[in-house]
Amino acid sequence: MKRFLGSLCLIVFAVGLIMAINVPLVAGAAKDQLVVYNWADYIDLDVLDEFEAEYDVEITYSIFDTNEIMLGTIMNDKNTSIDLICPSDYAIERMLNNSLIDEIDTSKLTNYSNVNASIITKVDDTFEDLTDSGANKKMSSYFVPYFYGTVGVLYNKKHVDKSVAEEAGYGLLWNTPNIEALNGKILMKDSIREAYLAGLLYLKENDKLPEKYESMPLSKLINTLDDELIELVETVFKDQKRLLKEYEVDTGKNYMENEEAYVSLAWSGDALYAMEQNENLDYYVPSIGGNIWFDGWVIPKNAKNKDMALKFIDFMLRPDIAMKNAMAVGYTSAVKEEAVRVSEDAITVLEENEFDVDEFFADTIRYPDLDNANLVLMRDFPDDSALLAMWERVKATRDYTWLWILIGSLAGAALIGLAIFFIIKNKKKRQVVEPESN
Amino acid sequence: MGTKIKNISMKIASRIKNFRITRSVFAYPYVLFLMMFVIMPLVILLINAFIVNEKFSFENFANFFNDGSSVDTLMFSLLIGIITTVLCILLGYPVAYILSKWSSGRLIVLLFILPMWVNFLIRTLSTRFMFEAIGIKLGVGTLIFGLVYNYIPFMILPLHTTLSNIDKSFSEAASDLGANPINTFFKITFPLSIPGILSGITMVFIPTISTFAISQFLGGTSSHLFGDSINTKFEHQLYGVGSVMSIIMLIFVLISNYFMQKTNKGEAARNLW
Repeated sequence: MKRFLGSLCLIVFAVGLIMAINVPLVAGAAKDQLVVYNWADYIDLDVLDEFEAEYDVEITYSIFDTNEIMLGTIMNDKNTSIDLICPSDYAIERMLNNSLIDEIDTSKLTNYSNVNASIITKVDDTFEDLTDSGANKKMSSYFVPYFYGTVGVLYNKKHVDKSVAEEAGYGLLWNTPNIEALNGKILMKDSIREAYLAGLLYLKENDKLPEKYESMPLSKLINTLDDELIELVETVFKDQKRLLKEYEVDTGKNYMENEEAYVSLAWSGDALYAMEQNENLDYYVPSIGGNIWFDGWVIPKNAKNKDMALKFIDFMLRPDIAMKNAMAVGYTSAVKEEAVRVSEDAITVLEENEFDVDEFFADTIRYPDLDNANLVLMRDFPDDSALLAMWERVKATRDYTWLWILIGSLAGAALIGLAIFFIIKNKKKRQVVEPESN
Repeated sequence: MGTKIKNISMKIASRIKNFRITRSVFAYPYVLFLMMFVIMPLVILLINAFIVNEKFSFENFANFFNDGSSVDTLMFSLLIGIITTVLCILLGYPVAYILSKWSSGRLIVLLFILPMWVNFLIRTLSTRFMFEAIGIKLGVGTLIFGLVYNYIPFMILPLHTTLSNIDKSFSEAASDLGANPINTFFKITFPLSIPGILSGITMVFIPTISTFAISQFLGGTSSHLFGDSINTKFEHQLYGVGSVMSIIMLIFVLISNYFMQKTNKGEAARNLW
């Protein structure tokens, strides 16, 4: 009987285990599946529901915070079946170089003509030397643009004049105008690519770059990684540290909105969002130039549902859907102005969000000039460990004065304690001696 | 050959035959859990640390020690850990002592644990907002405050248990024999409470050296801790160096545990909670 009970227990346990593993698979088998892997806060979630309803499909939606985390997932687990990913330009380059993504047949996308053609030209011009399994490839045939934006400086007009700020360029992050109020109120991105770019361009602004880099075109300079540049950037970052409030990735917008910080390196979408919340804020890409980036949809080689993935991309390119996403996300949609203007639904979305259509498209922060040669793209650094090590060294640079103060005060306390101890001891001795002398 | 297989199969059969529900059977699920979530990750950590390009190598260790900032960060974390632990003892001991004397002590101890029931991220974030509202600049000071605030219950609790378990008749006997209260404390109560202090130290020191969330919230620019460093390494897919750093941290944990147990002679175990 006991044995029977024992095996029963084991069987129940085993069956339970199998059920637990299999249940999701069994339940989901009925519908078409689409696995989407996107940036956090990078879509209007209602749009997902709309797509599910329209195409009778079940979307598994998961998110990542940085390109590096996404690359880690994709590169290490090659068996994961993800149908769609939305990485940034340089991450797409790395995925392409590792043969992780498939070409996209754009002829199957009915809305592909909605994509702003300047984006495609710009991206293809930058990534002109890409190869996949030996053959020369165009970047644009591997991804469909989704959003884009710039990296620039967000600042508070109450403490810095517009003219002063734009004159200072990246120098504002180093407080070159020497404004007292800014000390300890500057935020730096804890993201090495953006930080490195700002450091390099700050050096360029101040003519601190060695001669051979000075004549280098911007698009080449920001994509150069060597020991000499790393050392130069390291010194300016260590120098910047005393001015900083914090290294941040996503808390910066709140700090700027609440006026707890006055200057920050920011992405244009975050900047636009913060400026909507607080009218004292303003944003610029320094005149010397800066980074423009593009995020887009790619289909991994081992995607299971490539047809549905294409339908999803096509859906994202519908002007009204694109505007819904743009409203939710805050960055600039890759769907061109002309396509939005002819779509009544898209205009309604804009008006519902209290945007004047002409004003919306005239905003140069939202719609930077794509033909501006000073707005350049980042290329992938296949081995960025030297850069990472530099960033760690910068962060590990510490001011140890507090330790000396601590040791000093401890020693002081010990001295006082000893003094009190001896005084009491002496007093006691006297008390003992007194009766004897009587 | 055939007999061998027969032998083995008979052995297995007898094992199955002899299977009984004993108390140990109920431990199997946990043993399974232990294998999957404790032993396996450790093995993976070791593999990551020592295998570079499918070959056994010490390259990751060399990388770690050559890169000055990592060792510096480790030392800084240990220093922060020691300061936090000392502060926790200095603040926690008197509280635990007084509470063990009061009959309502149990209730008041509850008040000290109460903040622990709030999620520590929420707690730490609110601490940060508090500092910002007062206008204190985030830095090493606020970091240590956050650590002490978060970990002091782990010091008070074992201390309180040990102190209230000490037989009162010991100190009564001491004062009967003419010892003044200070002497009684230093000669009787304090030595008897050392197991509590030791288990408090293990429970405060080890989490503080590996913390990373608190330093990110409360540290400002100047407190990049060892935990943060490991976190960055893994985020940038430097699994080798990251694993080496985790192992080094583990070694420190083992060392401190060893010393604690050696001085403790196993007394603290029952006093833990």
